[in-house]
Amino acid sequence: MSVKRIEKIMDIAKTLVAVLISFAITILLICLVSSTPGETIRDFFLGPFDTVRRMGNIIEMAIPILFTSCAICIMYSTGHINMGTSGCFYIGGLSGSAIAFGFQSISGLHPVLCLIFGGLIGALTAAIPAVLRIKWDINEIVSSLMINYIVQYLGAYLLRNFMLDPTAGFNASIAYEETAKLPTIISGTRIHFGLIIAIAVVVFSYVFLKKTKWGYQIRMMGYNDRFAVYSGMGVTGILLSSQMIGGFLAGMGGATEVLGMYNRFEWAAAPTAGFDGIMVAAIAHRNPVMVPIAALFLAYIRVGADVISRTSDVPAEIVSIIQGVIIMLVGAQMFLSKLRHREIVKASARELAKEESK
Amino acid sequence: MNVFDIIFTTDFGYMIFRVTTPILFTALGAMISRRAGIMNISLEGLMLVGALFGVIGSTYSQSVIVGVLTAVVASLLLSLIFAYFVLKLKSDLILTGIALNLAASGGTVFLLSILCGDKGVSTSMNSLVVPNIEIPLIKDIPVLGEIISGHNVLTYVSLLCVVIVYLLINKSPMGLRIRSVGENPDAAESVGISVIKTRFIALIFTGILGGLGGAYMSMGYVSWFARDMAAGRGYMALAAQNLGNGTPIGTFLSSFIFGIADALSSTLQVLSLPAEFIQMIPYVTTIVGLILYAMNRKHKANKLRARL
Repeated sequence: MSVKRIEKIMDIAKTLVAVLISFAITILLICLVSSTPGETIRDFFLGPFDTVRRMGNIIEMAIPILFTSCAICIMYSTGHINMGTSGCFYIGGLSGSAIAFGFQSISGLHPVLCLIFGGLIGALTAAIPAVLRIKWDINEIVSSLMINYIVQYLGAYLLRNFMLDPTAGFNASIAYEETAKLPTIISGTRIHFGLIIAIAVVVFSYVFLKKTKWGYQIRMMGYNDRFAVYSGMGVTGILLSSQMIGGFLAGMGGATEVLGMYNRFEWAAAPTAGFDGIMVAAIAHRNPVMVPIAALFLAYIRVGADVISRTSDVPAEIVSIIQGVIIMLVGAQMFLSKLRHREIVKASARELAKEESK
Repeated sequence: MNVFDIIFTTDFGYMIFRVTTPILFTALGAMISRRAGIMNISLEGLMLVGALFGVIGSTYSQSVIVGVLTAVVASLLLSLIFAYFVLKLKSDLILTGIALNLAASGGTVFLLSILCGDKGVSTSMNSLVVPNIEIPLIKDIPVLGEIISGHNVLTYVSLLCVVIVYLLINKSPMGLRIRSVGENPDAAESVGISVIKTRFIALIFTGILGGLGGAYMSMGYVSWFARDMAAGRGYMALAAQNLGNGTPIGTFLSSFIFGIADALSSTLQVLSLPAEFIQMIPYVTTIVGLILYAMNRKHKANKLRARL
């Protein structure tokens, strides 16, 4: 086995061990809290597969995360940590909604227009921290976090003053035109056409990041930006474009989510999809190919937590503790590093022995 | 009523101190981390955990001091977990921070729901608040007395912390070690300063300050814990120390700018301006402040270059 292969296997092993540890903590917590621990544990792990509807829930929940985590894979590959995907996703949903009820169009074209507009606004939002960084060297972590809040308040203002439907009975926009909605593709669930778009986004992100010159430049900048400058890459252009592409995907994700799952725009605050994207991209080691597995996994534990919050006395928030543990262990370089080291040494020794015996 | 009638009142002055306190505590914490070379976004989580444990501690002990101590210890423990992962296991700083914040945001609601059956607020728990105190002599000065006196004890503690942190960072051997580790870890290591140990110590201070900020939120600012009550103050604190360029005095001043913005956002709501724009003020101020600071820095650098 080559060293590279061992490193890959060890990465997967590390993720699995992280998941197991977090599950052990979950079981411990459930035992401490629940009056019916046995049933609750069963419901948590197997509950999501009980009905077709719940299995559908897993996939529905994974769709927005696929968009945001692919966005993060591209944005973070530059080494530039823009936390604005949450804002991009929210404003993308809002802008897509505006097109969905504000304009008439034919059914094939209407959602496309919504998605493109949502994506464009998302791209502009993601561009702000990048521009601030390029022009004034302002830390993008701080600025993008602030922009998330600004975007949310702006969205609330726009919803309240320009989009509100007073007859809706709650704080929601005018209902979308029927032509704009994304159709359900599997009956008995709410899985919508957005799934196919999301898969296309994953494929696009993989090809873009790993197989094109542009993607290579993005990754190279992330590995070593001085080398990138030295070898004549236009670093500012790469930075800005990567952030805007990421913002576009996140914004489009927001638009897809509202058109597939809702009849009106009703988000009072940004959904968690933006930060979920950061977690999923981390579990997937910023590799778009691994993103669907990580996204489905996250959706699976969320649905499990949802099930137990309804069938038992354990609150659904238990899931955020599980997530926290997994992310921290996966992100830890030194976690299981001794094992990795030992395996690599063993493999190298074998290689060496083979060479010498020749 | 116009804007000036609202701003030029002693109530407004009083309010600025009230809303600055939590930002000041956490910004000082963020500053110590930064001087040790750690971009610490986990303060949002530290604050939340501190706020919840302040309520829990004071409810079960019926003692304010125990409540505040519980808050500080809880936040400190979380900060040590952060330190262990970042320093020992070499985790990614930002990722660990996000993970801790998410875990704290959900974990506090989890605990709240188990303890009092409510996922929103802890009003059913009989928690205590840190008392307000009048300062003798100063309270009799017109105008100034009304603004400065009669605050929560923790507000005065936060002001005291500015001095303590100043002395710690600028005047103590430990501060020198923290600064050197932040500026050039390799050089510090080469003269025998343990980078990991020093950063651990810096994160302990950060944990204590984050816990105090959290305790103030639930035991002074209001008298209960509410889910996600930190509302971005941890991130704002990070921005404040950034704007203050990592110095205690700068951090203190920029925390006040955020405090004023925050106070404006709650007082201006009586005007007919759209509420959303007023709520945006602290966040927009942060970005504008960072731009102004960067422009000024660029200007100064150009001037120096011209002189050469």
